[in-house]
Amino acid sequence: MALSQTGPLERAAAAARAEEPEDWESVSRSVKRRIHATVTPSRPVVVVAADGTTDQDEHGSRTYVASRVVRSRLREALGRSADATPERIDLTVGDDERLARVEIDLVCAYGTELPAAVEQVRALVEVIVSDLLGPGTRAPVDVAVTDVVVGDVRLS
Amino acid sequence: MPTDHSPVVAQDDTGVASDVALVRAARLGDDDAFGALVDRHGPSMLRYARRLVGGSEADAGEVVQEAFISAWRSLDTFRGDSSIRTWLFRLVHRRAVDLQRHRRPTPIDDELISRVIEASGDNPLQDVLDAELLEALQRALDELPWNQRAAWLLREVEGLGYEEIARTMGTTVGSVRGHLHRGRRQLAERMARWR
Repeated sequence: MALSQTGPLERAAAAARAEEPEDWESVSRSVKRRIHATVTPSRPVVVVAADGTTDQDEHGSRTYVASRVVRSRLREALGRSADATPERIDLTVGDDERLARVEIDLVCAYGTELPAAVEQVRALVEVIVSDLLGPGTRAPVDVAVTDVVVGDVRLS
Repeated sequence: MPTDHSPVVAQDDTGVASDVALVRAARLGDDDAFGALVDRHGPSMLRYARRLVGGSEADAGEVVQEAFISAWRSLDTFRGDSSIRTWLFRLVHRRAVDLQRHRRPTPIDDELISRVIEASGDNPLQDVLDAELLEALQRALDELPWNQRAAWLLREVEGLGYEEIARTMGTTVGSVRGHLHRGRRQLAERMARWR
């Protein structure tokens, strides 16, 4: 700040604006560490074999995948396109612990062919769900386009 | 096996993600996107908190951390009626209010005040003057009523508009104008000897 003819309050305000808290890095690290440690609510989802059974062996053993793992995988896979990205991913788990429904809200880039984008997303969701929860998991996948933005949806 | 913390938002050479895009990704659990919001808005939140709570580095750090944890947990309630910056400042303001309610005023640490100023290196005299000015400013701010102090800091240091300040403080634009008018007058009187 250069010496000037402005009043002391204005000079003090300018000096305050120029401040850069030197302990910011430690505060930032602490915040991120705590965020990372936050446990996301989740439910176990049972893996279903191609024949529709959930038993993994003759003893009736079952395999479960946490719904937050499925949601995270979907978020990662669907968030790579510049044309469409999810803004909501909801998973419904039935009383039988099977995945009952997937609901996706999409934001699309202006000019994107929406029906094609929706079908592409639905197909990708089905592949991922099958990969994680077994080929016998055949939950309906509802996809809704809820917003259209200009430019790359990952940045806009 | 994917983790729960895989990033969604692109951070490449083509551009920087907007706040809206970061919020969208963070709502889906992308903590890297939330981390980008933390680094984008955190420094000014910390600066505001420190001046508001009387210059205490520890108190300001606690206020800002709690504000961000609260933001992370309640991102779903952010409807975009205001900018994410205004929403975050509101969370900081609320946490600072809570802190002040439960604690006695903290004396100003002179050494602390002088340490937080970035030395320019090319004008030592100006650096000293700035440090002393900021010291005097903090003393003057501490004597102001809470709302006047908050309104002045948000307007004159953080550059928020009247509507944003009203949202941050949970009051009306008319009240903000009143707080600002009285705060400026009182601060100018207290700082007059530096003329």
